[in-house]
Order: sequence, then structure tokens, then C-alpha cells
Amino acid sequence: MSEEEREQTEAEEPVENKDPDLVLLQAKIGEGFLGAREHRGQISAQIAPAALLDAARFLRDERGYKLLSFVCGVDCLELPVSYRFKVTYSLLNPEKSQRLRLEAPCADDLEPAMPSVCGVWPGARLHESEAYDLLGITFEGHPELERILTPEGFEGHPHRKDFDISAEPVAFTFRDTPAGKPRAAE
Amino acid sequence: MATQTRQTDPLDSDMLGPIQTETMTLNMGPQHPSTHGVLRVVLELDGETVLSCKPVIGYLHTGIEKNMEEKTYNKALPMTDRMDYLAPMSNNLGFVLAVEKLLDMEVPRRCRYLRVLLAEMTRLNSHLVWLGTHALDLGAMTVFLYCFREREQLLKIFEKVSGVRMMTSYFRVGGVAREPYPEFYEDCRAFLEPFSDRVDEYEELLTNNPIYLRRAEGVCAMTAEQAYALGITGPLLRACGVPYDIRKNEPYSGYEEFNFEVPVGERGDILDRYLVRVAEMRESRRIAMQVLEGMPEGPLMADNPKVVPPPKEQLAHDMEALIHHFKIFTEGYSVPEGEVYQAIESPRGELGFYMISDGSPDPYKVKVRAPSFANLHALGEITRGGLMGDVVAAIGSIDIVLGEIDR
Repeated sequence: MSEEEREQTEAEEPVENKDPDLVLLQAKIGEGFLGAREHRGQISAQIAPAALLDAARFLRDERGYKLLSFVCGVDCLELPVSYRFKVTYSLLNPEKSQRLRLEAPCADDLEPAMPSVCGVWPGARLHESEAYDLLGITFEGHPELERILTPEGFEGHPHRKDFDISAEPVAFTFRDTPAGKPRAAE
Repeated sequence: MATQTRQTDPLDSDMLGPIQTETMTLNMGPQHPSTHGVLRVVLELDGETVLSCKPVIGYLHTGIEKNMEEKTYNKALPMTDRMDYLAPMSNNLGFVLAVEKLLDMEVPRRCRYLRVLLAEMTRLNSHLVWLGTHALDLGAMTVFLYCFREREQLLKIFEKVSGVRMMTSYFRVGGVAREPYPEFYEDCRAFLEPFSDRVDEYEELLTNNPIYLRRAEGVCAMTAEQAYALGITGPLLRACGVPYDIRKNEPYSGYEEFNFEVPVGERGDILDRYLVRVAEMRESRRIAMQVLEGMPEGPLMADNPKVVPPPKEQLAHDMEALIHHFKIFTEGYSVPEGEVYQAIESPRGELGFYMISDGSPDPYKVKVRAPSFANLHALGEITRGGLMGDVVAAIGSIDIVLGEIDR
């Protein structure tokens, strides 16, 4: 990551100027635009959570990103970044066959939260519920935030990096051994 | 007239009490033959009319994405088959393309052709299951038998080429698992050449069948704007008249070299979804035939000894090959840091792999953008205000695979 960033700062043209949509987005949300990164020809823009809804509406209404491909929460615990959680939004402009990724870092590491984009793309409902279920990110303004994948009464968020998948408790139910016979453990 | 009847009716309101206005909540599934897997649907009904329809998922959640984080890229690959078990090679393809993009690696032209051939045959396989079960849901038994007759031939080819009927895991990062068997191309040709006649047979059974049309025409329609808002892709979006096909719009794996049309519908109803998929079967056959005509010569595997295991013969007398072989199968290969998203057109729509690498041999994060997961959104929207009997037709027309929805 750091090497790549160094390469980018050395490059003459910053990534955010490569895509005309990003130039306009930057002009629109100003300080909410935190930067952009390019990897293998794919651009992802960092957006501050406070500016997320403005950016989403602008991209949908004025730049044609009508389709939200997916929303994905990421636990960055082992990545060299200052925040713990980020939420990635992958957008598609179907007329121009253009894709754009937005990344919004969650401000609070312990109780991560993000404004919900369900009002902009109603299709975000299940994706955001999934991120809530698996990573524990709360989406403010979500119409029906609930666990959708893990079973009822499940505790914890399995896609967090510190969720131990080797220690799931197993519930054994022993039948009583007939009188006189030794128990299995003895 | 109406008031008169009411006055003379012995079952007058003062005998029965006030008219029942409560709605009824009906639970459908998770064990229901026409939910195509373990899907539960909670229906709120006003008589026969559906007021709301809420799909409840999660019964097949197996934590595949989390499991992948603990495995090397090659070990994670077989899990992709288990997600969309009706189109395993499409899932393989999406996964290997994403890893190849992270590695910034190209595969030889012959490999791309072979992958396209198998991916298109997988699409036929998936659409055949869809057509058969969708018709079965609506009471047409014969179509199911016809479709499974052809599917069996396809599965036999898959078994011969990969060793497994359904969970093929045939693609590898940098190529495919092994050279196809000698008669492979002849078998494909023998299947594909008469296939358009087979599609005619299915169409004879359904396309002009008044019983089918009554169930499908104008039922559970959706507009393109609704589809965009809900993130719906694939045949469902194309049935609304949007010619968006990732194979055409963002070509991958050499799809730009083939001629094919993107069939679209007009009204976005169940009939259009059926017509689009049937037309897609013809187009898939067309692409597959072009692959067979133009199959290039040359190597099958990419020239990258760090990622692609060496041929078995070399291990006996080449020290370096042995080392590479050992390293690939024990610790795997390191993938440069970065994140990519690779989308492909699976039989159900946009199948995407969003992958983050931290430079180690295991993926840091894999997110599968499953087409059925987004397409399931449509269910509540298209059944609202319709009849209860159409819910089964709607579920069938969306073509969901719960394995990839729950992952």
C-alpha cells in the first residue's frame, strides 16, 4: 500500500483527475473527498461518511451511476490504515459501462456506523443488512436493519478479523446411560 | 340491486358480525418444493391479493467468504462451486479472473477460448435447470423431462473433462486443471449441433401454449427504473429492455472476439424473462460453436512458474520445477497488495468477486457479489398487489440459487 501511494505521489497526474466524474465529485463535495487510489486500472475514491449521501445522490442523478452493484463492509484490522472499518460501495453506470468504487472509513472503531444509502439506491437494503450482520456496522436510516444470514440469537460478527472461528461451542446432549453401565467418560 | 340482496339474505351482517378485514400472514417455506432451495417467504395476504412479500434468507449460510480468508487462493477455489451449484464454472471463472487481475497476469488465448466454451455450456446447463423447474412450478411436467435429458449430456461432458459432475473446480489461476480429454471437442460438437432443435422443442411446448401464457404474460412485471434502483442484473434486467450484458459491455476472457446478440424484452414480465433466457440459450450455443470453429493452437497454461504448477514429467528431472511444485502446494503463492473487483456475466446476472490482498498467500477479504442476492430484492416488488398463485411463478422467474445468496 505504502509503496503504491509513493508511486502515485511521484506520478505527474493525481488519480482523482483521471476520471472526469471524480473531478466533478471533488468539486461537489469539497472536503468530503479524501482522495483516490488506483489499482489495476480500477479507481476507488475515499469519501468522508458525512459527505456520503451527497456524493451518492450526485453520482446517481447527475453522473448516471444508477445501479449499486454491492455494499461491502471491510474489517481493516490487519491492514496498514488508521481506521478499523470501512464500507465499500461499487457503482455502475450502465449507459457508459463505467464502474466506480467509493470507500467510506467508519469514524468509530468500537461502534462503527455509516449513513444508509437505501434512500438513494433501495437495493442497498439487503447488502447493508449483511454488513451489519457479519461485521456489526450500523447503518443509520436503514428501514429494517436486522441479521439476515446468521441464525437467530447468534452473538458476534463473524467477518470481523478478531472473531474466532475455531472455538464455536458445540452443544452435546447426552442420553442417560442405563443403570450399572459405566459412563462414556469413565 | 346489491342492497336488496343484502336485505333478503338470511346470512345478514347481524348474524355473522362485522366483515373480516384483517389480513392474513402466510409462511411459505423454508421446505417448499417451489422455493428452489431453502428460502422462506412471509406473505401478507388480503384474500388472494399479496400485500407484501418478504423473503427470509440465511438457512444455507456456511461462511464461505470467511473460510476463504484462511485458505490459499487455490484452496479457496473449490468453495466457489458450492455457491452457485448450478453454474460452477461461471463461479470458477469469476474467481480466477479476479486473482489473475490481482496478479496482473494474462492467460494464453487457447485457455481463454476453452474457458469461454465451458462457461457458455455452464450457462446452458443453468438455463436448462431453470426452464425445467420454472415450467414444473407452473404445472408443465414434460419440459422438465426434456431439459434434464439435455442437462444429463452436459453433466457427462463436465464429468469427463473435470472428473466431477457438478462441483467441477476445473479452472485454475493461470489456466485450467488439466488438458481436456482427446474427444472433448467432438463431444461438445455432438451436443451443440442438434441443440437448437432441442430449444425449438422447448419453445413448442411453452412459447405459444395458452396455459403458460395465461400464467406468464403481463404477470409480475417490472420496469427498467425499478430494476436499476434495486440493483437487478442479468436476464431480469434485460427482460425490462436494457441491453446490459457484461460479456458485451465490459468484455472479459476474450468475449470481444465472438459474435453474439444480447436478447432483450419489452414489458419485463415473466414471459419476457422466459423469452430472454431461451434466446440466450441460442446465443450461448452460437458462442460455443464459434469457439469450436476457431480453437487456436498453443499453450494452455500461463507461463508463470510461481503460480502455475509445472507439468508432472518435469518433476522427475528438474530441480527447480520440483521446488516450485512444492511451494505452490504447501504455502501457495503471494499476491501483490491491492484490491480489485472483477465482474462476470453469470447465468443469473452480475457475479462479482471483490478481493483484497495484503500481500500474503491468503486473500485478506473476499466478497462475492452474488447475482441472486440482489435479484431476490425483486420478489417483494413484483409480487405486491398480485395474486398469491403468482408468487410461485415469480420466484421461478427470478431464477435464484440459495447457495450463492446465503454463501
